[in-house]
Amino acid sequence: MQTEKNNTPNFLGNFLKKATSSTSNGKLNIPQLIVIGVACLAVLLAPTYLSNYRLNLVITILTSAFFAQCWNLMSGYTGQFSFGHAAFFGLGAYTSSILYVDFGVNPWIGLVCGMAVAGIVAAIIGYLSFHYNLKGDYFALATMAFCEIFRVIFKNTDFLHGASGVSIKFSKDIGLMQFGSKAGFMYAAFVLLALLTFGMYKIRRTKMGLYFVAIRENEDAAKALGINAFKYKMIALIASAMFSAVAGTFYAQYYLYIDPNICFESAVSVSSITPCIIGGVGTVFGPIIGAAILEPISEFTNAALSNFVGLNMVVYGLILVVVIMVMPKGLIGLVQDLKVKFMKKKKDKKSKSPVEAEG
Amino acid sequence: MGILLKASKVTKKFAGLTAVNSVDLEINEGEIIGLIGPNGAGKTTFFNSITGFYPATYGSVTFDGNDITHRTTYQNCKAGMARTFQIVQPFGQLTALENVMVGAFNRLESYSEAEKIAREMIIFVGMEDKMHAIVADLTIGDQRKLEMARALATKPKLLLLDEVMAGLTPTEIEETVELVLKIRDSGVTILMIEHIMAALMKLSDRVIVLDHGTLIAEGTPSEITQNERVIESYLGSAYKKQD
Amino acid sequence: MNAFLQASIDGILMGGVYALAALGISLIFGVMKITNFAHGALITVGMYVAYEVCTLLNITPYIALPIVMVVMFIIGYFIQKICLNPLMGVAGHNQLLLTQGLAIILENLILVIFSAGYKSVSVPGFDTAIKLGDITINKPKLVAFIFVTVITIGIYVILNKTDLGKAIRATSVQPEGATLMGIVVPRINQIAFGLGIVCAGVAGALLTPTQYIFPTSGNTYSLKCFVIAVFGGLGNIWGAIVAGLIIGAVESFSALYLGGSWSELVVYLIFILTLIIKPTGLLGKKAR
Repeated sequence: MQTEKNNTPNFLGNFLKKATSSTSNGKLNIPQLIVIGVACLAVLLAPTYLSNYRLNLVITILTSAFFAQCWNLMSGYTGQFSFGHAAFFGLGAYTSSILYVDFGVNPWIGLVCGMAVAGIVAAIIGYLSFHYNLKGDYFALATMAFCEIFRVIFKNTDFLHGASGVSIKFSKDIGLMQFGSKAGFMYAAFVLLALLTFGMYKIRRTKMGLYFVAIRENEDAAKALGINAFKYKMIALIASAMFSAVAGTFYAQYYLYIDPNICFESAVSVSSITPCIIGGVGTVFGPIIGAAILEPISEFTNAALSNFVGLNMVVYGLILVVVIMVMPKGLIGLVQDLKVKFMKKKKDKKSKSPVEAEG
Repeated sequence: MGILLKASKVTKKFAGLTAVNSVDLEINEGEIIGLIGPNGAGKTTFFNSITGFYPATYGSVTFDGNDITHRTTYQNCKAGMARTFQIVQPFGQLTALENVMVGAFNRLESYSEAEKIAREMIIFVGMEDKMHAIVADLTIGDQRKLEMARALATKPKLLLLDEVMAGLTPTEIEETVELVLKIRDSGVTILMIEHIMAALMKLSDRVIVLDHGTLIAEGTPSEITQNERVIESYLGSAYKKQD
Repeated sequence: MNAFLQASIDGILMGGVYALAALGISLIFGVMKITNFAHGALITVGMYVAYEVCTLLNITPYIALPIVMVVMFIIGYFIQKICLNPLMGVAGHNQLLLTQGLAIILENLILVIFSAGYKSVSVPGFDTAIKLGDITINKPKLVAFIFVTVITIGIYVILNKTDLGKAIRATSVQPEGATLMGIVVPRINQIAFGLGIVCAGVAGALLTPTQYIFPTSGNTYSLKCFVIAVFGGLGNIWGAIVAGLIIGAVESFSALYLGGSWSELVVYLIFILTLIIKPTGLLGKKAR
């Protein structure tokens, strides 16, 4: 133990050990804070060393992580598996876009309206689902059906621009929620993700956060301990929906075009889940790690396999399947498990041949 | 001593099957009441009806002077009723401390306060060395103790224990008996389902017996052990089992 | 009145095909408690298998059905063996996502292999309609309905009159108990999944004479099949059949009175109502 001081390899080992450690409530230690700081700095300085084309990938990672984090708040923390988060994403995108294009309402106000609309719809979906005690696959199917309902409505209503979708005029005005350059959008996405992630981190160590995970772990026990499960599930769903709406508005303002399929397709709902699965469902940094792995792979396969339309999606599906089969707790869970195994081996070795282990 | 819980004519039916049939029960503050009966007698269902898991089909339940027949589980907990489960129901991926904190939040808002109470409760049940263990990794015995700590952390007036001694070693049973007495002495009334007769007879002020959903006997432990009907329907076989 | 009658007949004929596909979902859920999100993609696979067999051997989809069934059974058997058996008993959402991942893989593999173009199967002699007064009956749909009836009876016989069926039903009620009775549960799961996928594939094959085939053509049926399976009571085979016919008719009527694009909406609303009012379904046990 004493020899570990000022010993570089051991220092590094210790650093790694600490950086990959986790308490069940996800409290961060200093090495972890350093890693996070370095990652943030790398993103913040990205415009100085990355081309616009590469910045686009960074923006994709950040927004994908943000949307996944929204899903994580609801489904990761409280364990109610939503398969229809596209509904909230789409409502956010459509509300701000239609208000802006047809009624000249500033997108910043549209953003707030979108959050309100998504929140109200989430309250209705949540009330119907949780009041009637829908769980597991049934809840997943219900959210999926609600999402499809919105797709059908938006596709077939002329007032809502029908199947042709909504185009938003390009501008460079930050007052119109367009951030001028790729770098501008990247900073905006970074701020969104950082705020939500910080919130996720903080809330885990509050009464509400602990109640969320208690409901996930065992709803009956939670109720017996005085938790109004209905209320807390509603809070999680509504909050998650409102942030998803922000993701939708941001998408619309960045790509300047939306249609019912882009917004409400089940692939959109899946895209809110996959990063969490890869990184680790219900963990604070899982969605970010997942997005940071998934999006570059998608980008790469998309370019490399462009001669075979669809092959990149095959890879996407394979990643999802393999991750679920090999590391169902995601990368974070896998690292924890491997560490536990490794420590155990080390311990066994130590107890078997103490002399060797000392040297 | 006032009446803490009064169940009158509590009946619970499942699709034609009457699991609990018109059971009357009064529990005074500070008592330990034992609830026994053969398997399938409706003991756990009676618990579930009182605590609001499956609200009673007929009858009424009064707790601490309020009618709680139609209240839900979490409201009953807020009112001062806590329980453990026949099959342990831990928050598996959380630490022991966090498990108990969930209970402590029943009366608190502050995270640090809840942590303090939870620590006290874990020490109270004698598990301070497992404070930060992930609960899924603990033994059943420890999980049962933890469930008691968790229930106590809600600051209940009435604690319902559902077979907390099942599957424990004789030493553990001894410890649990001590623990239950300690809990009662701290001012909590206890209603407990138990199959370990020796422990139950030692602990209970009164024992009630359910058979086929019906209350067939009620009295002090010595009265119950001499009751013909109870021996016939339950004790006989139970004593045989213990040989 | 004629329009009403016409819509009923169209709806019920179509509902039969829905019912068969939904029966697959119900069977799979009943035995393994898996909600198979890949069902829609497997309907598409069934269509392409039928298409390939028909063009290669120059036969009609009806003659190709046995081959389709064998191929689909093998696909289902190995999906269960390789991907799902290792996941039995873990948290349900993992299985859900796994089948979703499979759906993405299958759908896009088809896109890679067959490209996005529309394909169709022509069945000589079946492109005319039967006329009964003012009512027309689409011949391929009628034939499909007959096949659906035969295959449903076949599955009923397998489940209720054979030892295999007994093993499947035992597994669906109590996998642990079944294991104790010497039933090899993983193999039964593979067979049950295979049978469920046969239902999807046959439904797909029977649709080929009446619709274009493209990589996402099964997706329209995916959620609809869930609607039917849940409406009829997940795990309940007769429920799936009855619900299939009802949903087919409802869809047909709402298309008639509200317009085709809104008929989906009606179906989904029925779904949500079922979920909140009686999630155990039309013929399911009463909720507690």
